Amino acid sequence: MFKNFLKITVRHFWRTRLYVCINVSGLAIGSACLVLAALYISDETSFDNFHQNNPNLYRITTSFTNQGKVVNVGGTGQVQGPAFKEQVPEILAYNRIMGGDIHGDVRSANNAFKLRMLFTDDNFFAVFTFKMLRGDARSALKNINSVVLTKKTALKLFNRLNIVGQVLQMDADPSAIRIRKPLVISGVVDDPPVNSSIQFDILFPFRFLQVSFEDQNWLNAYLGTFVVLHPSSDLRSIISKFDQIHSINAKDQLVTASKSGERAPKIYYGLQRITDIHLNPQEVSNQNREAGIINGSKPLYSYIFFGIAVFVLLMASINFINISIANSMKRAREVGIRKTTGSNQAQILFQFLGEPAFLNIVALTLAIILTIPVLPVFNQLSGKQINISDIFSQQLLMLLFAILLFNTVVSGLYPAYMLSKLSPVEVLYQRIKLSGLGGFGRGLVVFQFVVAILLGIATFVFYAQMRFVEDKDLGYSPSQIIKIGISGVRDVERITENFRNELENDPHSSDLSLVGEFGFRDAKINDRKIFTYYRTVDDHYLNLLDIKLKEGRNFSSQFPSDKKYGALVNEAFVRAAGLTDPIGKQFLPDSHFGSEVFTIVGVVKNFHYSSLRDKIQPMILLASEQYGGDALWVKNEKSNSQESLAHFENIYKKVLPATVFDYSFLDEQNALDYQQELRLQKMITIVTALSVFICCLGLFALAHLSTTQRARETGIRIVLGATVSSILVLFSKDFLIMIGIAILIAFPVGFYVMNAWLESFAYRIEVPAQAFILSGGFAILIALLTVSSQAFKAALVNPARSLRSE
Amino acid sequence: MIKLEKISKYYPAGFGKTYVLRHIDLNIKEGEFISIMGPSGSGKSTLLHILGLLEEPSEGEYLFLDEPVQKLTEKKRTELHRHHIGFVFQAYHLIDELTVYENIETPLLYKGTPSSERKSRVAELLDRFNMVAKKDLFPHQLSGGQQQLVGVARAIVHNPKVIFADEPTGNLHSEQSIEIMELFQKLNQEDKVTIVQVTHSEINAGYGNRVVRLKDGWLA
Ligand SMILES: Nc1ncnc2c1ncn2[C@@H]1O[C@H](COP(=O)(O)OP(=O)(O)O)[C@@H](O)[C@H]1O
Ligand SMILES: [Mg+2]
Repeated sequence: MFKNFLKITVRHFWRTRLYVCINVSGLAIGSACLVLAALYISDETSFDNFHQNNPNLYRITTSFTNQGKVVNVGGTGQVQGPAFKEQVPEILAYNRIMGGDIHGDVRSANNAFKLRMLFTDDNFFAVFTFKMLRGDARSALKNINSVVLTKKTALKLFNRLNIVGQVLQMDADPSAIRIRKPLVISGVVDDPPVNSSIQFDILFPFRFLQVSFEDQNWLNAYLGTFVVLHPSSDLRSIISKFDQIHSINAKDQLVTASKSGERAPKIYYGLQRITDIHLNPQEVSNQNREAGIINGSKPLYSYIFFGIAVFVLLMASINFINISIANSMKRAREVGIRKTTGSNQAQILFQFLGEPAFLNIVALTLAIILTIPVLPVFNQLSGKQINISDIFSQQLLMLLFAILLFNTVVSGLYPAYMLSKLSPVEVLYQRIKLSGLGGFGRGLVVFQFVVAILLGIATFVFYAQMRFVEDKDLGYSPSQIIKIGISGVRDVERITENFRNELENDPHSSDLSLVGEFGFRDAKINDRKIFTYYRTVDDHYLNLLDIKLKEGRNFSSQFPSDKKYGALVNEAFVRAAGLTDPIGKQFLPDSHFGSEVFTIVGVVKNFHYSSLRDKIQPMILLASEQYGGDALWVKNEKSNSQESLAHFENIYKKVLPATVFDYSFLDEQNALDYQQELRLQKMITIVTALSVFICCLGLFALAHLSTTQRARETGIRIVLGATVSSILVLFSKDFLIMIGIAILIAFPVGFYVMNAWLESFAYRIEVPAQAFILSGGFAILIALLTVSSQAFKAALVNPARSLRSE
Repeated sequence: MIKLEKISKYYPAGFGKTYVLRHIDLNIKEGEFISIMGPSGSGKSTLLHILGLLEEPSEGEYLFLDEPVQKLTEKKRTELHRHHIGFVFQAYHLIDELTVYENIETPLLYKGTPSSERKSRVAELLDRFNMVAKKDLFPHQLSGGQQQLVGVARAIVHNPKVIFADEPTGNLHSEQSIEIMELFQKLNQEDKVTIVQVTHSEINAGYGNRVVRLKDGWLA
């Protein structure tokens, strides 16, 4: 019986090979998308799954409630770990890590590199599972000046692995300066796996960090504290113990805080499995990623990928269903015969589900082959490093099997069921009309077009908004600004001076400024507390970036007090402070800048110092000569920026020997703010193209089917005197009506969705009408071309031929 | 073997219903060769389908092999088709994608006949119908008469008790018709197969031993 089915399936496929090709290519594209989504999701969910202490390895999280606002942070301060360990017996071990986005210049005898640093307690290798390649894992971080390098770093610095006992220098690190001893390499660890949230090039003992930064504060959260719990612990009771310990220990600090007029937050602790961190990183803030964890993601991306893939596959499945329905007259007769010769409904269902199953197996095989060349592109788009061999993991193969099953059912069930319940008398005596699509099939075509048009609209709106973002006047000019990083404790004023002298009369550069970022902090003015961004600059800054002064004056060496107590603010600050005459007004800055008042000497026009997603917030500019900076912003005057970079590097190396030249372009860095959008935009563009392609294939098949099935009718009409154009209308009318309905549905939905997306930008375009006109017009055009090419062929056939066959 | 009592069939039409068959009483004994005759649209095919369990009567009682058909489950009905009933159609209705051999074999597959037995049975029929040389051809490569021979072979391959044939020679010219009718006669006389055929031709009816006439759904 099975052989009989197989034979007939193969012969049927051969006879209808055009449609089989259309189906298989669509299903293969759809399945390939799903395979990629599956790879992506399995990668996303595999993060940190390699630690042997799983599932008992947790991170302590902190929830701050301040004036009704709750902020959850995946970190703690330095004190919680030791205190909790001492008083909570369920904690078997704790480990604090700080790093992730902390980089420092590390130098061996003949090499210097900027390395990603991680500070950690000495039981690092007992709590986390990273393989030690050289040295003793238990004692590697015992000495205050011992460090562990990753394999990659070791090879970079020494070109070999047996380097235990070798020494390294850090000239500008505050701790290294204080202990006055070289760093001694105590071990080499295997590189952290790609799916590790904890990434580092070099490990330092936590005590090393504490030499320059010891902190007893209970109200802070900036590093990661991990605990290994006893397997049978009750999380809730542990957490409540945390909160109790906190309330006892933090009491004095809370009292001091409230005395100084601050409103102290309410703090609650939590525990988060390390394997949950990747998709819920609870980063301390956008500016500060130093709590040990990087590469945080959101489940949203998994959903988007998966949703997109399912949609593409759905489009292909719709093609299959529609071709099956439109082609079912032929198969219906077979069903009638089979039933009269003793088949039951189940056997027929089985046979007609077998066909899509077979097609899907072929499509999936093709999809896997297709994935191989596409994977590098996908990796680039998604920022992943997925390997082709990952497809063949057991988990994924099972998933692919599930896809196959699902797809078979989705694409095969309706046509198979429809066929299986046909009555033999009705089909054998041609008492039902089986050609054409029927309501269900038409509905599916409309749905396909709705999706295609929506994707078209989305693509257009995405492009328009991103263009708007690129072209928007930011209030300053970021182009040709190169940021040269200066890290560590250094005499930045002298460095800036030297740099300036070197670039004097140099054609490569016209100007430079020392700039430092200090993030959002409080400032107090007229008893009003303002949350404001702090940046340090010098008197060259406004000119360098072409920022306009609204009133007052720029920093100037003519006013020596500027250095210590002078400030420039932006218009947003003036508004937030409610000042009418801001020049000369005084404010109290964040304690980082001392406890004396500053005077506003000038107001700059608002400019977009952060992404266009946000409204412009208050900003204070202070003097970098006094308060330090972390980068030299240099204006490049040469069109060949590579040549300039090499030139600047030479100067940098002269001014700062044995350090690493670390630079970025300001406009490229700005673009990073929209990286997500750009990725999404590329993704949607590709998906739109694929969907439109699959839609066209389906449309082509339907048009082809309807013209062949109605060849006789067409012949008769032509004999009776029909014109070619009337035949074209005959075949196109139906499709045009379906597209019309699709447009009616897609336009309002598209408007609503795109408007909602644009809401996420503080500076946005209105949903452009062209998006609708173009998408709708394109859909109509493509449909007309596909359908009328077929209709044209039908109309030009000699009627004698089409009438004779039958 | 077959007993119809007051069988009627109607279709809904507007607010009322159109009767296709009215109060049909009919007894068919095992081994009979019956011809149903009547003008076009008189309900012959409908009657044949009811007899062959392809359609259900709207009213009346039908006993097939002494079992009331109305009470049969779908499963039992399929069983009857698999073991006791064969059909021959005017339009042959062979499966286009299957060869002559495979078309004839199909009912045996549904019946679950073992492979070796299947082979010998199909070979026997091919031999008997002089179609051995054509066994690997597809239906469209055969003439109408040859196609109908395959249709008959398929109808009897599983040794049914009764064959229902709806104008089996309707598409054939007279020579081919004679061949089919002689075949029917032989099946009826030698193999003791009960045959019910619908026909327009008095000559064809002559091969059988009883004629049932229908007019406007009434038994005449
Ligand atoms: N599904 C149906 N709905 C309505 N009328 C039907 C249906 N099937 C058959 N008929 C009608 O029943 C009558 C008898 O049909 P049929 O048994 O095929 O006649 P015959 O085979 O004698 O030519 C015809 O008038 C036909 O139109
Ligand atoms: Mg008839």
